[in-house]
Parts: sequence; C-alpha cells; structure tokens
Amino acid sequence: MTVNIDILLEDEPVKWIQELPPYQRDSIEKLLSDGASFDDVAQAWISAAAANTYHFAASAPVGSKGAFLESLKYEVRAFLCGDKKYKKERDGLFGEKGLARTYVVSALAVAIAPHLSVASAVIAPLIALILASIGKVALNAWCASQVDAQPIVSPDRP
Amino acid sequence: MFDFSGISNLVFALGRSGPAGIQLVGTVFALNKPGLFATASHVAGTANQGLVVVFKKLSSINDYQDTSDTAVQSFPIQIVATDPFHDLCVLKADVGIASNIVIGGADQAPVGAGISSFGFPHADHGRMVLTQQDTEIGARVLIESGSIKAKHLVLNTQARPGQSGSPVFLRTDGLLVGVLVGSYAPGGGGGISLGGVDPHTLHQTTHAVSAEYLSRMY
Repeated sequence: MTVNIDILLEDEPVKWIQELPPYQRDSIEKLLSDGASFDDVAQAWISAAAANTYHFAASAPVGSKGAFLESLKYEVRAFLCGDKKYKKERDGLFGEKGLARTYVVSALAVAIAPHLSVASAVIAPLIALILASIGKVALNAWCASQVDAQPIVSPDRP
Repeated sequence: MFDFSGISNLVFALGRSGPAGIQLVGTVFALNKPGLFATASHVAGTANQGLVVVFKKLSSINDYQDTSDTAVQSFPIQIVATDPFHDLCVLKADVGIASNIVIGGADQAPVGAGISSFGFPHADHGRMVLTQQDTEIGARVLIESGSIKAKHLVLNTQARPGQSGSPVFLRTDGLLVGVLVGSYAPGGGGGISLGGVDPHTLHQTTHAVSAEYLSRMY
C-alpha cells in the first residue's frame, strides 16, 4: 500500500521543494543554496521576522516556536507510520494511484492542522521540508528507524 | 491626487473571536479578487480559529466614527497563503468583496513620494477608528529575515499597534506600494515597556514591506 508514496520518497528529496508555489520555493531554495539543511530551513521559516523591526500587531505571538517544529515532525511521523488517529486520511492518501507531491503535502497539512490548532496553509511548506529531510528511503524503512521517536506531550503553536 | 473616499469599503480590522468577544489584532484589506484579503503574516498568526474581519458601516472615511459605539459586524476568514520571510498573508472569506487596487511595489515609490496608509492605530486598546496617515517615503531599504533580504519602505510617520497590515498607497495614483509591518527597533524591541509602550518604537521610522511580494501569493 505504501508503494505509491515510496516512489516519491525514494526520488530526489529536493523535488518536494521544487513543487511548492514560487513565493515559498524561492526563499527556501535561497536558504538551501546558502548551505542550510532542510531542518535549518524549516526552523528559519517558523522563526522568520524582519530584523530590527517591532511589529504593530495588536496581539502577542502564541507558544514556543522551537517546540512547534518537533510537534509537527511528530504528527508527520504519526500520519505516515500508521497512528490510528490518521487511519482514515492515511488509507485515503495511500490508496490513490499516481500520487503527486503537491497532493501529498496538501493531504498531510489538512489532516494534521487541526491536531496542532494551526491553518493548513501555514504548515504545508514545513511538511514539504520534513518530507525532503526524510531522504531517499522507503517509508517502511524510515518508520522502522523512528521507533524511538517520542511524542511531544503538549504541542505549542509557533 | 487619488480619491480615497471609498477606502472604508476596502480596509477593515482583523480580529480573533473568543469567549470574551472579539480582540482586534490588526488591519486587513481587500485584494482585487472577490473574497481575498491581505495583511501582515504576524497579524494573522498561524491559526484560523476565530479569525474574523471586523467592520462598522461607514459610507466614507469622512464619516464621524462613533468611538463610544462598540457594536461591530464581522465575518469569518481563513488563511490561504503565508510568507513569513516577507511578513505577508493572503486570506479568503466567503464574501463577494473585492477592490480595484493595482499592486505595485517599492520600485515605484521613490524617496520623497507622497503616500497614504489606512489602518487602525491603538487597536490593542480596542479602539477601532479607520485612520488615514499621509507622509513621504523617507528611504528604501533592504531588511533581512534570516538571510532573505526584502525590499522595504521607510515611512516618515509614527505607527502604533493595530496598524500592521495597513495598505500603503501612492497619493498620486493610488498604486499599492507597500504593506505596513512595524517600525525600526534595535533588536526588534520588546526589551522595555512603559505603560505598555516600548520607547524604542516612539519615532517616525515606520517599515512597510514592498507590495510586489504580495502579487505572487494569489
């Protein structure tokens, strides 16, 4: 059942980035070309803020940005590696033939967003980066390597 | 000079609805496609929950806005695209509102050019008064976010909480050249607060990100 997504995962990881919308892809590719890892870029995406600029929003930001990425990674693992709470969405996604990367990213974002109380549009590029960071490996092999991964007890929003 | 009298039908407050009512979080404005709006990404935040466009009936920005009237109308809205490196966000609501704005950018706004911005200063105190600020471009600068450099305009005016997300137009032709995102503050400010005000922000060096980045997002 994981054959379809294995075709994508075993391909070049950077293809997850290349299929993002240009306004996201260009910034991410710039950071990658500067030598950042996929994980570094994901953290930069979450903590992005114009230097020396005080924001004039009328509300304070919520939660810990550091913990958020770990929470998101945990949810991606849970989705891909068979957590019961994602069974319906996972079965639906893996049952599709000819999966496209944009569809995979979107499906994961829509499924995971409610569990982290964030908008799916906010986490879609982060999910692409997490999928890219998996590297060229089959899903079952990757999941087997993640058995020691610990859940985040109290996920924080960025 | 461009006629901005109808701007009250295009620029609104953004709020987050909760058990205690609606908390205003900044300014949002209608884009040139039905139901699409834009603001700064730090204003919209990361969650759709409770996000609403807030407005009072104003036929014109010249109407007297009753500051004692706390009754507002609202409709839900959701984040559809966010670019934290350029601090911009596009949102979608199930409404037919659209503007006829033309999106330009900092390249069309030379130093000294007259601009008008429209937003809701002091929204952090619950004040909801659509306010026009006229000033000039003081400088064009590149500001880094991570290692991503973005074009910004320095506006020679003071801004306050609630104005993030305000559209910045050229006064001559109404071209959208920027979106207000904050003011200069060493280290991003936040170190000192006197009565809720960071003294590092009490000056006339306001930052607006170039609107050109917005046109790629929808």
